[in-house]
Amino acid sequence: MFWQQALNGVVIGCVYTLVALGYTMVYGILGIINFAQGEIYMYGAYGAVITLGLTGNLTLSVLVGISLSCVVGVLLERVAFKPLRGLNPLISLISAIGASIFLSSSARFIFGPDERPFPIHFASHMYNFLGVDISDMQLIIIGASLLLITLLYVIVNHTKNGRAMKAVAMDAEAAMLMGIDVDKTYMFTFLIGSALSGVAGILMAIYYNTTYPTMGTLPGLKAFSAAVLGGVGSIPGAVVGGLTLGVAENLGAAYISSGFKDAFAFLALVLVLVIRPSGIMGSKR
Amino acid sequence: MLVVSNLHTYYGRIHALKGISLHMKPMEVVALIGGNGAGKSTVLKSISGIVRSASGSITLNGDDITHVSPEKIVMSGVSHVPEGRRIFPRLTVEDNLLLGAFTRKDYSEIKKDMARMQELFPVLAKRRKQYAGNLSGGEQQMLAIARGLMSRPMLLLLDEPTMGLAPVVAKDIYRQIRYLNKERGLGILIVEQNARVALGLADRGYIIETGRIVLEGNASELRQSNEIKRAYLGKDYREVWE
Repeated sequence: MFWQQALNGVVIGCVYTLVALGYTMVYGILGIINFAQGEIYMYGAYGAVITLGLTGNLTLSVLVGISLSCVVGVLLERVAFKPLRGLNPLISLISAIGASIFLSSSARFIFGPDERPFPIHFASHMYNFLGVDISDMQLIIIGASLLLITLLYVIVNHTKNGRAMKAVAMDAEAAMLMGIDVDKTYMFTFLIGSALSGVAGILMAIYYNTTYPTMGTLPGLKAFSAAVLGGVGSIPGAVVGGLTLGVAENLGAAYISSGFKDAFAFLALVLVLVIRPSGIMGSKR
Repeated sequence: MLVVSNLHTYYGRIHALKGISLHMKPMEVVALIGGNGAGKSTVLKSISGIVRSASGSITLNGDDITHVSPEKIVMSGVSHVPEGRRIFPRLTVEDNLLLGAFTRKDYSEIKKDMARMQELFPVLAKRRKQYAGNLSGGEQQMLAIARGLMSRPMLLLLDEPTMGLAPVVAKDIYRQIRYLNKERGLGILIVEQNARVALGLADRGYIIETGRIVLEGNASELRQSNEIKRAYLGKDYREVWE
């Protein structure tokens, strides 16, 4: 049972990781915590579910879902964060919380409060590896996450835009002197973070077969914890944090009490922060 | 080449520049001298576009660049090497140099320029895979200048390039700056607190005090001025006959 639960934890941890990457990149580059990351995830799920209901085309739906997340993310940066740039980061934090509430309320208004099942039913095959059962959806979640994390790694470390992102994160003014458009870099950061959250939302909408306006709240909060757990601002940290959190909450639920599943995630956060306040991979400042 | 006229700049309510006017001819070295908080760095930041000026104008080869974005100013041939070097510490020397060429698309030429920079500053070649933050102060300054040159500027703005460096290292940096001007034909606007050194290097100089130009002239004339001697070459300076 241990390995089975650990695997389930890895699957959910992959989803936390994708959202945590958005948190950590936005924090690393803009120095703000975007508490509306979970809502971007929810819009991605709705975008896909509604498009799929209308067209029946899965590829198109996934693309529309990701695009909707990107649009929401970039608008969010323009409306909720850009006017506050240069002010106390606490003000941006309050703005982010406000934006998060606004986005989930407007989703309730636009899409209605009811849960929507995923329009296509995935015939689920189970595979058995060394006594551990894994479904094809779980394989898809792990595979897609691995692919996206690799892609992000390549973008950040081996492209001109990635180099610009790092430069802006280290010293925005010096980056400007290099001729880097800092505004564009901020937008690009939000775009990538939102796309990752959008994918996570769509994957979860399929996995749990449900979409609802507050579906992003708890995963958003846990992904934030995962980012802090791993060391906010660090990309490997978000991966380690996401997986740790996912596994910890599944094992806790399996061995101690499933009623406290959500509590175990935050307990893991508290324990790590007591021992290492800067997070597992975080730099000590 | 560069004409700044009647420039006013504010930081919030502080009136940092109160009508600065200066000009530079091509291939000229001009020193901007003054004490702390006189507004020297603000002049450079206004030219490179990272500080918005309230009124006045800056033209480069006849084009108005007063309200142009910093990236367009880089593209039009001005490169600003900021005070305190401001290299990117957790990127390699090579990546720092590549960022200097961010606005360029001629990748094969960028590669050649990287090699040229490492020829000009051999320490950078030895350390090109290291994090820039691990370089010594003098090496970081050389990297900052090399990074500034990677955009192929015709005008280099240098803000206190020898601050905090050992005299031997500072001398080396000044030798490189002279070389860049004489051999590469680069125009250089240099900000310094050390008037003696700056006037030794420059063709002309401007003395700036609390946001105003109080004196300007050829470097040789300024070096002879008793006012300068007293104000910037040491408080107790007296000519023998005084």
